[in-house]
Amino acid sequence: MGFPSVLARAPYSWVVAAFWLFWGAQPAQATCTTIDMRSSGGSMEGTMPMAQGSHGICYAYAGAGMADAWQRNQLSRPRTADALAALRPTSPAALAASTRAYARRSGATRTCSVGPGAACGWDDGLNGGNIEDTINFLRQPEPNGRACDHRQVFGVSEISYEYSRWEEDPTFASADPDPFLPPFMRRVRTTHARSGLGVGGTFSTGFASSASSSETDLYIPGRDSQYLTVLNEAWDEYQRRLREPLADATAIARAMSTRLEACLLEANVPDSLIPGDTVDGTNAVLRDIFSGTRTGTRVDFLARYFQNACQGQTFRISPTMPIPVVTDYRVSTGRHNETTMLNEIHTALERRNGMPVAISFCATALRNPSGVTLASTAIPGGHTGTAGGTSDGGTTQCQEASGGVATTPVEADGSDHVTLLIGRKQVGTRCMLLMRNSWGVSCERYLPDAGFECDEATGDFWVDESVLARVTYETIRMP
Amino acid sequence: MRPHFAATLLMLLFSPSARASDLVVAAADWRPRVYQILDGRDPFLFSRSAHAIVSAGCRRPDGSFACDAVRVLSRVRADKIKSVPGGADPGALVCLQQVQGTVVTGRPALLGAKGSRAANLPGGEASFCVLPDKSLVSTGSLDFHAHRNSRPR
Repeated sequence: MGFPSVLARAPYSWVVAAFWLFWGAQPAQATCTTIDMRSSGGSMEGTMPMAQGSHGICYAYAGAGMADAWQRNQLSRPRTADALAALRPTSPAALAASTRAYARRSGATRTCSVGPGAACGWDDGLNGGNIEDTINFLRQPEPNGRACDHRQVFGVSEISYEYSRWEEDPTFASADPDPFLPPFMRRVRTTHARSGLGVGGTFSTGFASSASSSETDLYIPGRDSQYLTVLNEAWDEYQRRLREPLADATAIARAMSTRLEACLLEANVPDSLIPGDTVDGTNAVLRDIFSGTRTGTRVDFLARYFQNACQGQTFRISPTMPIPVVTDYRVSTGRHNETTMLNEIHTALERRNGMPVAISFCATALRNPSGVTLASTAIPGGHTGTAGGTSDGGTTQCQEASGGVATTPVEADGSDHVTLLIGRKQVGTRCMLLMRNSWGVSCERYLPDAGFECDEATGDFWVDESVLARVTYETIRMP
Repeated sequence: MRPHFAATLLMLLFSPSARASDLVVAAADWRPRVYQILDGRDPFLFSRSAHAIVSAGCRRPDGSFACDAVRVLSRVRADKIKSVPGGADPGALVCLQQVQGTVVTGRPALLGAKGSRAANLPGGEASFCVLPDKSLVSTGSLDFHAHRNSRPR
């Protein structure tokens, strides 16, 4: 029996057909059930959004995020709050340094470039790199493969937390009445402090068990995010001094040790987290870091510094963590297929114990979705590609778009970026992907009118999958 | 937000000639927000419509704003940033390269007015730019306004 004759015999079948045509024309709706890896049991549960500041190590932030998600998925289920709290967050900065130093020791060549024909070696620091390299480093057997606790790098020597509770006070009259509370309720706050390594995230003080109280969160004071800058500047000065005539390498290393310690303190790095102590004008540990890398490179210096800074605070992530699958969707290689890309992303998100999916994309689209497009040929002279990686030899995949004509490489604003996708949801007819960026909790940078929906508590935001697919040129996911 | 304020803001937001400082002054949705930076709690003002988080001290009793944190919003430009490979926060680059600032990282403390639902949510890291007059502006604000100022007029 043919399709039309079915309709003729059963008029209500027109309704069925209309529904079939309507829903069938929107396949996204069928595949966009809500997924949020931050929710209970998810691989990003309790993870903390971070801010990379002015440092070009987005790849390490994404790699650390993936590794931390992998740690969570390895916990036996049901997971307990204690088990989650015991997991240590991976330091992106230390991971970037360790990965780069390991690659150098392994004989890898560095082909990155910051301009046409510019020489690029192991002395240009940590900017630009690949997620898969960081994951591969963490899989290496001892003595490699150790992650550093983020709190040891970004920590404080003294923490404070605020405990607050609501209590009834009939005599209390607020000058600024709160619409959510009866007028006789007031908040009583007590601030506590203790010394020791910062703990990060929410800290339980034990007060919450009191029936009439609610507990606030613990916030670790921030510090100058120029930590890496201070280290880089110290390395530059060390090398400059070594080139001076009649340079005494031993004396210079000794002088640099106290100078670096002073600069780190000035950058608000807590004394307790700086390797070694200055005794008689010398910090022996820092002096040895300088001396030990005198003939090395900046990468060696940074890796050795973090190795010392993280002493006693390193940990192994499961060596069974697989090497990520990297898929090329560049326009310049003829592999840009948005349907295939989105299918791959959704399939990865839908998996049981789903892991985040990293994407390399043109981040300009986050502020100006129509102002950027993928380049038809890799453009030399822009950012290094692959999220600032090493494989493109100093090219960008992103170029400005205006009236359909695109000729200028996007250099100015952190395009060629990599972030994690950690969920999805349906909004109307659109499928929105949940992105965790590494630019901190800052919804103010996005334009809601451009279709972004930002979570002000975390800075994570939902973005239309079609907007992302257009400017994404690589996916990195667990197999 | 009152209707006439909303209309003014919408007009300013999409008006290519409107300066960021106009946007800041016109915004009627400034709310208190506290971040923990270095060893202290820093009070800020946040406006969703002005796309800005600035030091609370920027606002005078008469409602006007006077500090570097607000002034720089009008002159930062995304097309003048010297790029760094590896997806650095554009706002942090603007801070270092265009306004002689220092980037510090903090954490959201208690958000907003007491009793608000967001007050006790756990927060992550957030970056701020410390200007020469010691006022602070979020790198997200610098990022947004740098892009807005770079759009063709």
